[in-house]
Amino acid sequence: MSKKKVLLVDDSAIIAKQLQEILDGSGDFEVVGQAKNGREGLELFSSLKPDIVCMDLVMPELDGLQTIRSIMSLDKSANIVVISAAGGVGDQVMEALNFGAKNVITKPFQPERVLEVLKGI
Amino acid sequence: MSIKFFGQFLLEKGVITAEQLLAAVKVQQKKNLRFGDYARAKGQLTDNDIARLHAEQKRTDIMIGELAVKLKMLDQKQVDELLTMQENDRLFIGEALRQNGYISRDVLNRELDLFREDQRRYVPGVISVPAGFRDAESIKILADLTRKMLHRIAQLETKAGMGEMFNGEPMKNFAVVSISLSGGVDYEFVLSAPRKVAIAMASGFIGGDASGEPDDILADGVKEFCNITCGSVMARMAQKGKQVKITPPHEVAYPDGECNIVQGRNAVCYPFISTAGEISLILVEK
Repeated sequence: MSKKKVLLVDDSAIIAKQLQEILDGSGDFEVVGQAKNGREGLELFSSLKPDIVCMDLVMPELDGLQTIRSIMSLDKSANIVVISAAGGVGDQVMEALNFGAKNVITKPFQPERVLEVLKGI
Repeated sequence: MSIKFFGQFLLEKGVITAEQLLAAVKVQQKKNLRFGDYARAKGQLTDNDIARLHAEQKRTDIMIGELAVKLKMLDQKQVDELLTMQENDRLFIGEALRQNGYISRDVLNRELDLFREDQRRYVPGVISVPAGFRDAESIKILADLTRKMLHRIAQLETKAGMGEMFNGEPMKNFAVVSISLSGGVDYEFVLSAPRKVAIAMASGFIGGDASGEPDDILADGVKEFCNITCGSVMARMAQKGKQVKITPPHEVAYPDGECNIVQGRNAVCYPFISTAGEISLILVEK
């Protein structure tokens, strides 16, 4: 079975590094691109056509919510997982789910939780 | 004068040597078990339960015992018993030094009195807010959560100093990070951390020793720490029915060796003293 392609959209280099290690090390996923803000994320989504997008919410330039909305308008079947620092209870997270995000992972996260969520997509 | 741990106080006064302090700390670490250790020893929690509680604790603002009750792993009576056992067994550093024969009981009692006098204005566990701030409750929540996150993410035990009015601008440090909160909380959150603290934060994120990571990754760890802390503030405020928005964290610029973030506004500073160095939290009223 081929690995699922994952795009990371997070302005935090340390979180992106941590996610890349977890995903690449799992054997089931391959990180195909990293974006530091929503604008870059949109561009990479169009060019890389990933199976899954891991999306931070609070980012410079174009934030996660706007980016999710734009991606979903491009591709209604896009699989977006929100990586949130907001305790999973904020309105932003609910809004992201309303826009079509499939799940939420709260930072700081455990590797097992990340893989569990992404495998469930 | 600054906030100190008792061992540091004795060391600085020359009552004990560094070697004696390190040896006593080792004895203390061996003797002082964690809450989970007691629960495991009593057969009330498994290793998996404890790992789950620690993972959950990083995401929430709840003490481990309370969390175990919430997740129905333990009942309140069991938690109370375990906490009492832990408190009764706790070996303090002064007692560890005495047991090792480094200081006598008379010296221990005398120095404890002097230490309490020296540390009177620093009250561990209590966040105080100086007069003149319009939202003292939010300041307390911000400072309290910062201290908790230092423990939960960076594994740093800290002592919080009294909040003091802050005039001027924060000094340059390895990383000085700012986040702007608006809505239910209207403050500029500014955290200043030395390199060792940044390493502790980054280690918490990558799940291993981050001392070999480049400086930009370490600084990013401080930014992410601030992001998660302010995210927790958002969550706490949401529970109180207040909506809070935060900006992405950014490193404060020091173009000519100075920054311009406080800009003469009303600000309070909390020093958090840890074994990795002093962290300063500055909250600026907007």
